[in-house]
Amino acid sequence: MGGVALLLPFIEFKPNRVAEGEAFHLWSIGLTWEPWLLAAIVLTALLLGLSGEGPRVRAGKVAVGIALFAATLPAALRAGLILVTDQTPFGRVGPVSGFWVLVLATFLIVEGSLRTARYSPLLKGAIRALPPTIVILALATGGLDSFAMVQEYVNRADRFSQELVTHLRLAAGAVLAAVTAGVPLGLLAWKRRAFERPVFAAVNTIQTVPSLALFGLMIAPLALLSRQFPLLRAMGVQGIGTAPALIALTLYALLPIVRNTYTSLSVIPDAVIEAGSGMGMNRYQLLRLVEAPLSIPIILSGIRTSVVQAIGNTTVAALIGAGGLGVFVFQGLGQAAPDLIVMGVIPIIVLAVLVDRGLAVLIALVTPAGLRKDPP
Amino acid sequence: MKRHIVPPLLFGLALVVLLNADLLEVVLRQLFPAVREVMYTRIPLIDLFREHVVMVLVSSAIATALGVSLGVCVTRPPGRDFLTVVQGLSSLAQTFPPVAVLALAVPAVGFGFRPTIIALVVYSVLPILNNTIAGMEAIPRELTDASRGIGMTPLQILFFSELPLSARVIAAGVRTSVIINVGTATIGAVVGAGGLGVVIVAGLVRDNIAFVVSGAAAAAVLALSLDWLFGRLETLFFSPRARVAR
Repeated sequence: MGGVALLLPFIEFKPNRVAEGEAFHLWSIGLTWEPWLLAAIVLTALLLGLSGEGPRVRAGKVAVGIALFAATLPAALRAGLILVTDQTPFGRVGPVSGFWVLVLATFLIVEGSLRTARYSPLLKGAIRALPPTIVILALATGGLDSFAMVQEYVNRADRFSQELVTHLRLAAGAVLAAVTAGVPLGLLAWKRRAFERPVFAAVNTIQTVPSLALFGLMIAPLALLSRQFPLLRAMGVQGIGTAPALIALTLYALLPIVRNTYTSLSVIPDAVIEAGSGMGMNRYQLLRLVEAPLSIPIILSGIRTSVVQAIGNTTVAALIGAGGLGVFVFQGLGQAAPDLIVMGVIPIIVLAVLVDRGLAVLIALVTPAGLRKDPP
Repeated sequence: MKRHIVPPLLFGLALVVLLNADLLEVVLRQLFPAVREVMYTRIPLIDLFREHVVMVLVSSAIATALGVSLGVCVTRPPGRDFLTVVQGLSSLAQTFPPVAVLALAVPAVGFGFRPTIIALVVYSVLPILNNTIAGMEAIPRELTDASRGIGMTPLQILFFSELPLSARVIAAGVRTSVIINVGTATIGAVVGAGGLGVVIVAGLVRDNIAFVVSGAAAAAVLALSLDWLFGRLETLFFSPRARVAR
């Protein structure tokens, strides 16, 4: 795969924002030693791949994977410096297929060998954090400034942080509201069998409805309410904007939380509760020492699903005027400006992955030692 | 028995109202007396509905074929090496929002119907792949050993023992991906793929609630009826009898 990557176009150059890009191969940019270094690393990776198993080979693979990434990025960076000169002040470069295949190769090599490796979680985490660190360093030193995505960002830096905050606020607000409503609903469904079917039917139905449709369906009743009650209008409740977005996102976030709350209670064996009360625990102690530790990890993993989903759905909320990072995505789609699309999408993906990883670690930490299947 | 008749009647009624232009106009006029132009006239809703269904069916069919065969490949002895990598990649990719994948398809392949299909396939392969792997891994070794013991070839084991045993889990994955596809296809309107999203987006742009509601209602009914259909098929094919056989 690495071999193919070296032959694919590596980077493209555009004289300005809307012009058609011209793709360059790694060997035709005017780079001196970088292509050879990359080729050497790819060759080493191939040889390592053929040399069987074992802890040394594995460590070698991890090192080669990281080295591949550490060499790919500077190559793209230098290519940017060569291609964008003083004669082309609006020139910009963007990575294309060859670059992305190399990045994917890095991921596959590193992840493939880390998964089965018996390293400590801390070491694994540190290795996984290396590639992002390299990217951050490149961004911080201004090395990526000739990249189109970065230029789109620089042009909108203020707006970006503002929409990022809006995005986070919408997603967090929706999940908080969903937790406040969802945990009691899950409890209710478990304690009172009569509520089980209607509660699940309702939250399942909401999840099935397409997100854009749900946002759309929120608009009509809210516009009506806002017209009928001046007080609501004064509070900023309108057909479009934050209010319908927040309501729709909250409704959407309910299902995983309700379902996991319910599951978390139903998986506690009666015998465990009986053992607790047999030891003389009162109702409160049972809740604090037995039920809560057993169910909180499961509820948290429901929240994890909800948050990741909410971050994605908040993107769509931009269509009904609620703001958030989706603004850039849809602006980019509207102006047919691919770099702007990518600039909006990448932070959303990074956010989703970060939150997902972060909560995974938190869940591993709060899971009682006896329940852990494998160390985090 | 009676309970099973109510949902299809409701969905059928909703579809008749939504897809019959004359009826829809009457209903929308009643609902939104203040809106002057209640009907989206550029393309009839029924055509957009058909586009939407085609988009979902095509992408889900491709995704099912891809996901199941990939899942089968990585659970065979020669493909085992890739199992952990494929699992890692697909669980990472599943944290990507579907909208993000759709938006990224545009710089990669351009606007229109094709990139939407590609994005839908790429994203909806994941639940099917995950469930195929999970279904295959959950089969007790004794069962495949027994199949081998009675003289089945590996191919026979796959088709007559492993796939039937994991069909239920795979079907659940297909259901998930179809529902996600209906939702993502709605957003496909912003990348020029057509479908029911077109009316919703047109309504949002022109501040026309009637457009938004008719498109949103049609998309919602489509998703709900497909979900109901899958639920029924699951109980029909994987009845308690089949479960006992497991």
